[in-house]
Amino acid sequence: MARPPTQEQFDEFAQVAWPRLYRSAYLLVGDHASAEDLVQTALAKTFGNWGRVRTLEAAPAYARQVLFNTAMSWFRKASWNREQPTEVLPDLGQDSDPTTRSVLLDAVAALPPRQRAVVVLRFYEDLDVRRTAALLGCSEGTVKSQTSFALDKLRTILGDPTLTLEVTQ
Amino acid sequence: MTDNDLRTLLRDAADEVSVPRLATDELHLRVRAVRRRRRARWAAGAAALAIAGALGTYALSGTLGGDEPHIAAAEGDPRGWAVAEGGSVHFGDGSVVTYGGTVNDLRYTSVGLLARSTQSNARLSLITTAGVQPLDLGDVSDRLIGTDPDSPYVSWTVEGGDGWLVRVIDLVTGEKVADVPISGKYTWAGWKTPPVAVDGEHAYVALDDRTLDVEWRAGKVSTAKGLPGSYTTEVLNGRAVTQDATGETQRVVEVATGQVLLTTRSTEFPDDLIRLKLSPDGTHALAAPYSTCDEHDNCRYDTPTAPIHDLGQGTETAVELGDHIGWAPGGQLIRASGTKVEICDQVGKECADTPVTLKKRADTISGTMNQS
Repeated sequence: MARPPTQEQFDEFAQVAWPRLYRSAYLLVGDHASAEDLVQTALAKTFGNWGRVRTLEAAPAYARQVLFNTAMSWFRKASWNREQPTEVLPDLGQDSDPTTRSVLLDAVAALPPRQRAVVVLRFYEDLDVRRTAALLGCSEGTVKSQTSFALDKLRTILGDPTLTLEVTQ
Repeated sequence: MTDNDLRTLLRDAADEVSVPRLATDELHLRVRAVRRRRRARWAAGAAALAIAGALGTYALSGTLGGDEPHIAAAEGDPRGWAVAEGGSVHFGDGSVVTYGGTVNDLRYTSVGLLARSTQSNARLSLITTAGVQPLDLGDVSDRLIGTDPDSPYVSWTVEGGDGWLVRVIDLVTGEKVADVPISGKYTWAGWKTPPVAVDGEHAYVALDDRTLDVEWRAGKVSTAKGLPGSYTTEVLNGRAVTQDATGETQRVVEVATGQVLLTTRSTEFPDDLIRLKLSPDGTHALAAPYSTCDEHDNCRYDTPTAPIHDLGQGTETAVELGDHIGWAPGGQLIRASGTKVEICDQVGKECADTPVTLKKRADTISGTMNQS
């Protein structure tokens, strides 16, 4: 088994990985407290499972996978789903600017959890369809269809009918 | 706005998110908690393996002799189990069938394995040792379909009226045998229509606030007592896995009555993440850890062993997981490790090699519902 890093090495890794993981987590769960909890959980599990991580270089990708696995586990909780209604889309009014950042984050937060995870992985983490499918444990076809549904919904919310997807691998 | 615009906007928006300082004290506390749980689990697992190893040695020397196969039931199984490596489906009897694509999942039915590819989830194929039969059942893309290891019925939901129709197809004839209308609120999952589980002549449809028990032959719809809303699960021989509102506690329940047969807490596991997976006959439950994948998509379980619960006896046995582990239709365990595939008894103690030889390692094992 790979030797665990020293606390100093792990702290250094955690400090470097923290901002990126935190932003992914925030996009996934939509609030600061849950995002912080999610990343703390992912980092602690990464350290606890160092035998599979093996090297500090591999740790960021491992921590990302644990973060998404943990988030998907949270999403399966009935309480989480009840707290995240997605049927009613936010009324953005006539003056909404589709390029306004908070509006985009609100729109992403309004997606159902699986679609949100696909959007974050494909458009924020920049993973291709295959890697996204592997990370979420679903088929590439599911990733493609979830991406399509998500973009449909984002179009509706953002009022931008020109939002298209170039299906890239 | 194109997808590249969306990518840029999303990154810009994320960059604007204020990131708090990493609370290293809190992280250290959590790391220590994970290590404590891990140590406790390893100690318990090692003890269980030592006891099980001694019992297994006794059983082998006492009941099995010569070159007799350890698991007689593994031979001549008419319904077959398989592991997939890329586009090749390796059945337990050693036969190999080439599938037109990369296999995503292989679901058990009484007439063969129902497959979808990783490239498309729109079409289903039936695979047996005789070959692959593509099915013309319409577009089932992005729907969670229900199958039953003991019947030829497959079910999913389609839009219909103000709600949905629970559609049931008999794979023997390829004919639709039921279209039962249902209604309710469905927003909780990302599938196009509500997900379905099938157990004999019952279909279970997960809506937001409840799960419907659809007696599809009779056309009768009621609320399932033992299943919550906003949660989908397989129902096997009247039993299913559920989890509580916090997600920390998973249970095996009798769906008809809600009677709890097993309770497990994820906090007792090193990563706080397990999935209970019932055997096809509903008599055993494997508490499998999650697997994580490296940059080459080589996936491994996060722990080398996991407990199997005998629901009738109330006992627990540790089983080595290998690369993939799953249930055969007859209730045995299939374990793939590298190029080797074994078939084991229900608690993973008596195992026998199979004729299956893989090139590198299995991608998928039959009986796995690989649609998160």
